[in-house]
Amino acid sequence: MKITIQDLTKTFPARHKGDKEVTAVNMMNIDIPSGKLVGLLGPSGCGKSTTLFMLSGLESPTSGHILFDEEDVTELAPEKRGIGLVFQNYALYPHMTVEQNIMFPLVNMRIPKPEAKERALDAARLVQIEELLNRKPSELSGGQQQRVAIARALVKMPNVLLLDEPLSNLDARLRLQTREEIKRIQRETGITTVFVTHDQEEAMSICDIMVVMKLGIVQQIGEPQAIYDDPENLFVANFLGTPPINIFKGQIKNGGVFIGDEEIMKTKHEDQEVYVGIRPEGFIYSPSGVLSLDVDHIEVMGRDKSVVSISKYSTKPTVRSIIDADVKLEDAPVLKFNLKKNKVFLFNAETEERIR
Amino acid sequence: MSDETLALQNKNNSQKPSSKKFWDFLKSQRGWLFVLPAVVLMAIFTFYPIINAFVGAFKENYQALHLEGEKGYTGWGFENFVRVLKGDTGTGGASFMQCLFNTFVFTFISVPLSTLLALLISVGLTRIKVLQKAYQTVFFLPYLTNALAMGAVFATFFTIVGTSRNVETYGLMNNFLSLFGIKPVDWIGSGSPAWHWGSLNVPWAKYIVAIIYEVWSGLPFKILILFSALQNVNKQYYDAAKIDSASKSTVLWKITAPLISPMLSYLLITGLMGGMKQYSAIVGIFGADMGIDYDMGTMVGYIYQYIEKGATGFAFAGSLLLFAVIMVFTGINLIVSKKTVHY
Amino acid sequence: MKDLENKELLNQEEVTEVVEVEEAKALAAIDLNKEKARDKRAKIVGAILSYTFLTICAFFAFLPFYWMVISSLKPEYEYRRSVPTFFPHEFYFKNYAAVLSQTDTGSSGSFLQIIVNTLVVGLVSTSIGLVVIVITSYALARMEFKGKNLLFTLMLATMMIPGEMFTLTNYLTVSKWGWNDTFTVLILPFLVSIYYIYLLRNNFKQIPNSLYQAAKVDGLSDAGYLVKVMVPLTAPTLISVTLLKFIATWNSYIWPRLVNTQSWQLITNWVTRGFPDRGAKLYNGLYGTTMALTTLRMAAVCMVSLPLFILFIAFRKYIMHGVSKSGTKG
Repeated sequence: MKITIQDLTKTFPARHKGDKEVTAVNMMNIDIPSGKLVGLLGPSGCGKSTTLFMLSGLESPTSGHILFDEEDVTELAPEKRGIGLVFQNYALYPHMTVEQNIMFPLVNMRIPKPEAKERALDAARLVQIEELLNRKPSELSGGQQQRVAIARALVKMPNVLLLDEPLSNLDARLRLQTREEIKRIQRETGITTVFVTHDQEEAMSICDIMVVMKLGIVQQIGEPQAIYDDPENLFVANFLGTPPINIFKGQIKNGGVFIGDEEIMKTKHEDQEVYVGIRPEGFIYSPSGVLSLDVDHIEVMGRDKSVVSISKYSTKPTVRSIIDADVKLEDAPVLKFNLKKNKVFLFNAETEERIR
Repeated sequence: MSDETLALQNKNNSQKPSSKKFWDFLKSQRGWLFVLPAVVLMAIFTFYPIINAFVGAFKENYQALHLEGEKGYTGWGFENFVRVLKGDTGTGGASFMQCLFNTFVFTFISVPLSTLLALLISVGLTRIKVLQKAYQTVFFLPYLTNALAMGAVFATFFTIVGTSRNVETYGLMNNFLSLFGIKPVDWIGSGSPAWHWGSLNVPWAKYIVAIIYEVWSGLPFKILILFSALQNVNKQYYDAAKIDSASKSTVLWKITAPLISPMLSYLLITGLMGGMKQYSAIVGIFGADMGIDYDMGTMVGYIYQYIEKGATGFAFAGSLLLFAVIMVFTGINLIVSKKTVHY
Repeated sequence: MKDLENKELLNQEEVTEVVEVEEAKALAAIDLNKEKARDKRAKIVGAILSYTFLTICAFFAFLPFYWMVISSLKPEYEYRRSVPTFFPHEFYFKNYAAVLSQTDTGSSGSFLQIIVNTLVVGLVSTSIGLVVIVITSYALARMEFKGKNLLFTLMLATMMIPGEMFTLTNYLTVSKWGWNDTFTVLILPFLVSIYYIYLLRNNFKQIPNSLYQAAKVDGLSDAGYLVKVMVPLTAPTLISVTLLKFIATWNSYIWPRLVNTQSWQLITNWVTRGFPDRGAKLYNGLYGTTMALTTLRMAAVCMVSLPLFILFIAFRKYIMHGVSKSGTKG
């Protein structure tokens, strides 16, 4: 099912007198093609969960429209939208067994019991928990609870599957495993899936389409790799990537991009103050390089190594450059680097928009 | 379309017709529908009586169940309070001061006693493993009883059956005491010994009976609370104390008791407040007249006496006085629990 | 030579020192063993003391129940022996028959009838009361309406006020309405228990909001959510409240005595009687018709207490749970 979000806005009234009302989502427009896995990504308070809840119908938008295929569902109650929702804390009914939990939506839809049981078993098989059907949620691990929650969301064969921070309550190892699992289930079922996360790595690794949000406003939409390679603005560049991008204060003058006194590259743009973003993997060690950095220490990771250095032009305390483990480094306090052009981004210092 | 006109349109969209707004408001207030039964019942049986008590206490010579067409009271003033406190109600029966004194004696002796005993029993319970549940159950049994019924059972322990000339049995208690050479005492009968202290009666033998009952009936709840409080004390404190080589009694009085002091003070205060409302058990032991002519009367007994006699004004005044006493305890509770509790 | 001697002496000293250290270690080990033994002994003594103390206390806690039962099973003349018997020489079940067949001139019927009265009043007032408590708590916990906080504060404030202050006015109110001696009057004033509303509201509040949202997505109405999710989740509290409310009715004495003199008497009021005319009949005039017989009263007391014991044995966990939370007696 295709999802169209038009001018979606949600404002919450002020909590206390004198406070301003809060705009959680501001004029959002997205088209989600059918059968895709979409990640809403952003720091907390960016409106991603509110968006998800508006898609589910639990929150009603202040203005704007939500269309499933061609049908306007903006005013439709949650249970009539044909959605499945997986909550951050799973929200399993603690007094029901796993099977009863999964069957619950079907029971409310007045589906005959034998059929409901059958479908619950199918859903349980899909998430591989068929041997846990008679347990209570309290007897399950976090990962198992997560699967039950997904099964409960899938059992009614929703047109849209919504997941709110699906991995945040899992430990690191389970997170990796579950994220593959979600991808697999999504592929197998072909259900249009929207999930919310604040973890860019998580989003990058499984999304077909990623929506980066900040303060209720969509910053960029696209395939993860495309966004990573071509960020629209400083925020997006900064938010994606581990280790994060290095950002320097710099200038464009006389057709050159300068960090301090060093000209790192040529440019056609006008003279202006800029931020220069350089991905950690964009450094090439070279004794005749264009950028010199004061080395603080070197971290050896096996496959590659990080040169952690200090620059007074960096907006962050340290600059991190990742280079191949084979590269022999000089034992010197200052190292020089050449830069990979496609890993360097320029942003206007005031608007923080990309200079292309 | 410019952004501005768009914004304007949005605004217009959000402005709903006023009838719909009203409907929406009603819908948002549907919680009142849920609380309505409770609110109506409370208005009649809780809120109104509070106001009425404060009004009625100041109606002089107030007889609420008067005949049709009569006013039922003669005027307004503090006369009810004055006459209640002086014991000058002109109806005989219980005197307020005697009832107040009795209530205080029962309560101030029995509550600390049963709290202390409950603490010791709870500590004992935490130290045993085998049969712990069984002991716990036995100690909880007296909670679930009918005060009046158990009062009657206690009365049998102390009653001397027969006439004064021809005693059939002196009862269980006297038989037990005779093992130690103590002469039979008429614990609760008409010949029960008493001291006199000014206008106050001090029927000490009856007091002992009442206090024994109250300690017995107060134990279960206190044990239940203290035992669970003790089990919630972090075991690390005990280990630390062991390393510091503290003796068992030191541990009890210097570590355990302070750590569960919130519960102890809670039990003391609720015990005292509950004791102020003692009634049924005394009736169970000493009969509906609460001893001989209310010499074992309690404050609540005093109030009911005047309800039954139809002297409404005195009953209201008495209930306000009871309320005042309980408020004093509540106030003390607030002050004390801030000062001595170790959390 | 002297040096050598000195050295030897020194050596010897060293040796003795070593020996002393070894000895000290051995002594310490003995001390430790002694300590352990002492610890063990202290533990055993402590256990014996604990059990002795607890057993004595338990004996006295239990004695009234035992005495009640055996007294109800003795014939009156055995009860009146100058030295009490701790076990009936003669089991006299006629006491129970006599009490059960008692009819009272001033009241509506037999002892059995009174028990039925009490059961009916208890069941009706408990079930209706529970509904009122649940819906009120639900609204206070989950719904938003104007004045909710004020209402809740008022309710909490009244918990400080002794019930005796209400009783008088309530008595006057129902008297003026002509409701004395009716079934309704026994139930209506006690349907709302503010404390239980408070307890249940807090229970409801602890249920995470996401469960409500999940139920919405799963197509459940508000009422469905209350019945299918909230009630099962708070079942322990609800069961406790049900039991304590029922027990409170069973044990109620003051209000029924005040308002119902004739047709709707409740059980507790009967316990204070001695069943004198029954006694006279039972013992063929051995005891006068005005004499209260303890054995008969104890039989009545046993019958009043029995349902409480059955409830306690069946629902021990819930009752103790509820009591430790509420702490209100009856």
